[in-house]
Amino acid sequence: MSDEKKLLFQAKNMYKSFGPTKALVDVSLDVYAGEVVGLIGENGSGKSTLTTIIARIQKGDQEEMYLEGQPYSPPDVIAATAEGICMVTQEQATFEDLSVAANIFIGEEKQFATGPVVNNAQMKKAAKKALENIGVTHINVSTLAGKLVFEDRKLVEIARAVYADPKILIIDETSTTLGKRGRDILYSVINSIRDSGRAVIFISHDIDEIMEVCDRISILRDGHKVAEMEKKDFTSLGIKRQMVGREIEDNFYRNDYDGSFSDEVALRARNLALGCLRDISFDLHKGEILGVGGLADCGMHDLGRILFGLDKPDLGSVETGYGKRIKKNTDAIKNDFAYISKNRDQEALFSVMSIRDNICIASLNKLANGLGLISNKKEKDLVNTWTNELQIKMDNMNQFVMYLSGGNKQKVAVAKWLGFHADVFILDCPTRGIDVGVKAAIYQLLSELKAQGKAIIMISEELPEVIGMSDRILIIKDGLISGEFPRNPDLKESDLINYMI
Amino acid sequence: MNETVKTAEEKRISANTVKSVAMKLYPFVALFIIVVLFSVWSGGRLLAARNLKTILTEAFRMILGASALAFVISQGAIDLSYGSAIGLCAAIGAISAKAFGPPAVFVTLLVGAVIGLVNGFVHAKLHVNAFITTLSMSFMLGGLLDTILGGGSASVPYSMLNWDSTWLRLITLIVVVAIGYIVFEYGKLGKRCRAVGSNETAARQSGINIANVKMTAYMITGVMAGFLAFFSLIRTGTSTSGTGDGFEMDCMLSLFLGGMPITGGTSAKFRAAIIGGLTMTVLTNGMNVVSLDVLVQQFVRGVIFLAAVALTFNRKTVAFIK
Ligand SMILES: Nc1ncnc2c1ncn2[C@@H]1O[C@H](COP(=O)(O)OP(=O)(O)OP(=O)(O)O)[C@@H](O)[C@H]1O
Ligand SMILES: [Mg+2]
Repeated sequence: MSDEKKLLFQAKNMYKSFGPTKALVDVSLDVYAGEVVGLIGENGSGKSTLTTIIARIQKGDQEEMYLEGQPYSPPDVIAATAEGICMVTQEQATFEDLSVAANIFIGEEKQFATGPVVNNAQMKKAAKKALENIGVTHINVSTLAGKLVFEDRKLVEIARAVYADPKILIIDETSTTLGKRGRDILYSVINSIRDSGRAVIFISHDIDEIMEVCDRISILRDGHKVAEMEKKDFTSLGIKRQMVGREIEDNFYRNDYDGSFSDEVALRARNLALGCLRDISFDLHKGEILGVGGLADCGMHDLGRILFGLDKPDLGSVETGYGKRIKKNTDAIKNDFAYISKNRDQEALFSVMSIRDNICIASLNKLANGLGLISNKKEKDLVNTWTNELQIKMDNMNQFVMYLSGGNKQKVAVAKWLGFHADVFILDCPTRGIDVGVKAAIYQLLSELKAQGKAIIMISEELPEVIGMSDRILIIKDGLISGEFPRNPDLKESDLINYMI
Repeated sequence: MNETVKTAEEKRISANTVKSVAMKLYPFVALFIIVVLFSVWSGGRLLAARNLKTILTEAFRMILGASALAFVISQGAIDLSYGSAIGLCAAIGAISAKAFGPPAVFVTLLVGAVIGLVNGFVHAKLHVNAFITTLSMSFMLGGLLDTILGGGSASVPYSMLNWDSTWLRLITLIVVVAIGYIVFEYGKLGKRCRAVGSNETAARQSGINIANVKMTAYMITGVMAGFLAFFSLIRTGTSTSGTGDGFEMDCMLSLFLGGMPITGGTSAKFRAAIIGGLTMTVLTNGMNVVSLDVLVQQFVRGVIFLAAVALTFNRKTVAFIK
């Protein structure tokens, strides 16, 4: 097979630095027609840097690329698209104030224009077709993108990229924003591109997914390419070893099947109804990890917002174990609640603020002295403790968060609440985009928090994670709790999926 | 191969350092240029002892005004009712001074606080945008002021003018600025203001009481308006419909000249109020000393306003100014 493979794209001698950080050092990448190339590595190893250079979102310090044997160096993204390379980025890239249709054809409105007037009906029709093209029928093309759930926004981006009919589609760390339905769509898109003799560059931290989807992988470590592997040589341990440069354990979830927790209630949700949530009641106990799963639009992400007092439910109430009502975000923080939104860049973090301020902002009351003032030393100690604990890869703590790699941003969001010493953690996809090594560290931390008697709700699209970590699992379907499962070593993903759809 | 990479990278780093140092230095450079320019232009009259006293009086007003406004601007908000608040506080203060003398300062502070409270309430609780809220407020205050003064003016008892002294101003300025600096840079309030300016949604999800932060900032400008109104009364002895006129623009211009970004956020620094206040004072005073035509003065202000906003505003992080 290897003899007849046709070289579609080639990148050589790629270099890129950001200040003292060498993000890429002499990296090369070959892409053959009809294959899916996986790109994997720890957080901050240079995956997004390499692919955004290929997609022309940024430029390398030094670069040499060929597409179908011809030198490839378009000046910008639009030109790259025209030459046949499109990218679905790790960061959210839809405009919330524009309709789905306008988002799909952003920059391309010309094709629907007569003079200065854009024919909206025609654009909507084309947008609908673009979505149907990837098998999405449930999204209304007239809605504003901001009104869509996270998964659907990502699907819109995928539809946009696929509609341009690229020779190479780059997908950067997208599957963790997708639920089961979204992933199935993504995989069928990938398969159809591969089968039509084009190619996909696929980035993910989920090793099982990588082994399943890819034909070949390139592994990056600290900006260097350290290995390439063919599908026949894939082993989970081998890949991880190459990624982190040392041996790591295969099973990183909790290995106890105790599943016990205190009788003391930490959070009481009663008859919550809002939007598609109809009637949700449960108790969260001290020392309990409660997993919440379901399809992306089942309302589980809204549940997190309600529990932290960000959205007011139409019906029902949220209370602490002592019966204090949580009506506003300030009630939540006073009772030592913590919340991490799934929408990392816009909500969980201040992108244009230093790592230091991001970590300290929730803890101001705890750091301040009687006069409401905060000493530099206290702030720095807090930040140092948690950036070390979570191995956040950064130049220094005064760097803006926007310059961190995706996974390291997520770590900052986690560090903020660990430093706050919350009692109740409401975590919406807490390990989104985090590499296997640090994921293991975070799971370890969650276990320690549990042992300390903290209460944790983990809302997640990752069923293995929900099964692996939870003492109890709630599955939400159509706005109601459709199933409840105690911790059990025999629990399978398929058992849960039955209750989701 | 590696060589070229290094030099390209070094170039990038040095270009970036130059840019960030320039951004930090520009407020100082602006101050320096304006002082030198007007010293020369006025033939040395700018820095003559008599004029220095005027400069101090003006700087007192400008720096204090900008210091309070820093809490609003750092949130990415705006207070267009600042000047008219001073006008109304002064008018009510003058009338009450006739009744009970110097304790009228409490009246001006109270009036200012109420104005701030209303601004804060409408903006934070009723979710009316800051521009609309404070612009409407300035119209209402202007109307009230004209009604109270009936087109004339109100004066304070002559004895109150004895309260005015350069020393009082100097000491008050130092104390208030020191407190403001500490609260803004190291206090919970300052950090929260900048956080709200950076990303309001993320601030909410960090447990910050957004409404409180906004209301507090408007209370600060409101109380400062009352405070400055009192000092204006003991210096000039009267309140007229022109008292405080255009003060909000001068304070904003001070902050932008001092390097505060119009969008607020994390790079808002308190020193902008001090340095920018000084620059603005020297600019205004200098233009008077060289007897520049008032219309030309306005034009110069407009040009500088635009230039300062464009300079301080971080294009990397925001597409354009609201
Ligand atoms: N614009 C930037 N400014 C400064 N540093 C940057 C910038 N972009 C990336 N970096 C740094 O370059 C390194 C590589 O980042 P990159 O985003 O490519 O990592 P990644 O492999 O995609 O990681 P992740 O799995 O977390 O997404 C990181 O150390 C990151 O902090
Ligand atoms: Mg990345």
